Amino acid sequence: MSEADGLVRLRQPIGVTYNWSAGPNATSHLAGLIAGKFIGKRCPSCALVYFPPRNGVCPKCAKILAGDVEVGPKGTITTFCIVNVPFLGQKIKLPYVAAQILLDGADISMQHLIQECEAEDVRIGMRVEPVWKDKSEWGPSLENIQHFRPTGEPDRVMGTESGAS
Amino acid sequence: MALRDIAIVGTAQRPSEVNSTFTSVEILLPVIQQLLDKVGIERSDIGFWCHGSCDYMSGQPFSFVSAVDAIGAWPPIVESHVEADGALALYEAWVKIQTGEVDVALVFSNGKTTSGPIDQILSLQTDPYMVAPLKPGFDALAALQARACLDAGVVTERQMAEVASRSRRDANNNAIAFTKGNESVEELLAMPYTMNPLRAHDCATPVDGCNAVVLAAGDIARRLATRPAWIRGIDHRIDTQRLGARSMTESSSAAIAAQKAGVGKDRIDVAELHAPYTHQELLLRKAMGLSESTHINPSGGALVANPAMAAGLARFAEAAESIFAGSADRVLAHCTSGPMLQQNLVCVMEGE
Amino acid sequence: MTRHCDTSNNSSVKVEASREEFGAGSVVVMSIRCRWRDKKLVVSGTTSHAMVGDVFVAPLEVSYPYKRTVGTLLSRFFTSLSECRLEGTRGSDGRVYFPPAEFDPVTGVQLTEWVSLSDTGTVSTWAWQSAPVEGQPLAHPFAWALITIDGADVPMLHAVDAGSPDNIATGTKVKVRWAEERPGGVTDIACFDVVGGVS
Repeated sequence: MSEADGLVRLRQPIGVTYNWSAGPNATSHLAGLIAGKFIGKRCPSCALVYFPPRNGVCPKCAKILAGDVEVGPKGTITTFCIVNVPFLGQKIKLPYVAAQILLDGADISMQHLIQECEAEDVRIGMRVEPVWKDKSEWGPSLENIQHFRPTGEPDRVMGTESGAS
Repeated sequence: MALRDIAIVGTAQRPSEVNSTFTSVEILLPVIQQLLDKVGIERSDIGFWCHGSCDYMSGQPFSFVSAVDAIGAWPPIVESHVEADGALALYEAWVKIQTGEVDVALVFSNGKTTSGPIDQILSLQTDPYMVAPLKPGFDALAALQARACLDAGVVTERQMAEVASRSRRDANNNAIAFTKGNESVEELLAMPYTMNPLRAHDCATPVDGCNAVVLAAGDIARRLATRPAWIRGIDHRIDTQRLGARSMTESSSAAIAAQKAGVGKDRIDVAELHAPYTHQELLLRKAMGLSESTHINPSGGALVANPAMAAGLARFAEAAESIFAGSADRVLAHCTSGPMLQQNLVCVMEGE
Repeated sequence: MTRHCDTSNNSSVKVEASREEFGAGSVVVMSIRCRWRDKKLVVSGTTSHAMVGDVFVAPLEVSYPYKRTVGTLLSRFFTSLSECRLEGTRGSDGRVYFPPAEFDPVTGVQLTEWVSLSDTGTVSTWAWQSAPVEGQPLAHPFAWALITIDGADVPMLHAVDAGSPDNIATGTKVKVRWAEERPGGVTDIACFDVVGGVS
């Protein structure tokens, strides 16, 4: 209870369990992941395609997204970070790369892990593809994908496809 | 600096439900759109957006940030959030308009109260050393206050049941309310205690819901509403957080807030009191000096629909609507926060 | 419900089972895996996902392992509590607070005068927890109470193991029951016992 300075610290953990609902606008996206597909949604006003479809609402227009759009499976790295700091429960070898990936056909990027290459070889514009876990482990989650790996295709210069600004 | 005249010019509320499978954004978006359509303005007309909600209820830190998707933050907007009831967000919006920086504000609040153990969640806001580790639920804390009031003769169980019976009857006419009924006082008193001395009907029904109001200043308010609900006084007071150090039989913070808001200056036609427990309505009426002629909670109050973090703003919406409808000229809206009426916000509104 | 699955090694099949704990009306989809181990069939199930209608739902557990610093005055308080002693502080108007107040709730002045207190007190209000929740002081029905410790003026919150709501009232005398293990905190007091008589 008391520590070296004579002052007391108390362990007081708190914990709450909630019933979380993804909402009806996430269903096609999550069902898509169970089926091994990337399903995003398009805004009826500005036509941008969101993957994941974040609450099924366009954050620019405040409109319900309408129309499922299959995106990917390949994508382009838009930015990335080389991580050298271990975290509690980490299993991946350091350093590892977390990257924002713009899947082909989507207008916002998603985050995932880059493996099967050296960290220093990762660059903006690199083309990547998903490596899925065993099908028996699939659920409604982006965790179905173990990581993304380079495809070896030539890099894409950002701003030249999909109309993203 | 002379105070600006600011009024509520429109309200929108979502009918209460339980175990909603919609996300907070999905329930907010249509209500906000409905309100904008009602008032006849666009998102670009809103100078300031202010939001009341609680991350502890959704179980996600910064869930209030995702709620910004419901208002469309492009082009960039001026926006704020309080980790509290929407009524407190309204107070911030009122202050913002008073500074002269903006003329129109939209205040919104939401709570998916039934998605988690709300009774335990609310008691996480108590003293982390002395109270929270014992894990008293919110109902238990209210029950301690009720017992003190009963022992002191300040309220009776019959009076508490009368509040419940009246509220449930009035709820029959309110599409937003959840708990409705026609029970007599005798029928309610015959029910068993759930948290002695409280019975089930003495405690508010937790529901999922959300609401929004538009505030506007001066002539803009007159353009947007035929009969704006002008805010004539607003005040917010907080009692000590130490449970044992404040009176269990009266609410000094509610009394001071009411006095500062100008409640006693003239008659009050309608008082929408945010009282999640029946004995608390009785304490509030006494603290604010409300007369028998004041119509208390014609909506049924929070007792029949308590979307945590939105129930206070709901009182403002209901009170303002009675001015719009012409059924009241001078109204009171109240919001409470914290265990045993710890914080109280009181607002007086008038039609012109 | 019956489902057939291929029992060759490592096969699996999805089964829909209704389960209330994910929320009213939820349907849980499970993966059932059949594995042969030493000529015995081992069947295990894991939850793949749950739905209410066509909406995906899941339990969300949020927990934080807080370790709180309590400061100088409360360090002395919690240390004395773990040693089965009660100490309060005196406010600027002479009122004694137990648990001790660091700062006067009325004037805000820092409080420094300690007062030793006995382990008995009086109930100033109570309520009955008829269905205790995990983590509360007692697992069977008990009373919550604000208790004014003898010698103090401002009451504290704790639990009274009264047995029945008939055995407790405002004015009931109670006595501290110390926890056998006292790792620190207000729960070093396990609860209070009724010692008979109403004052």
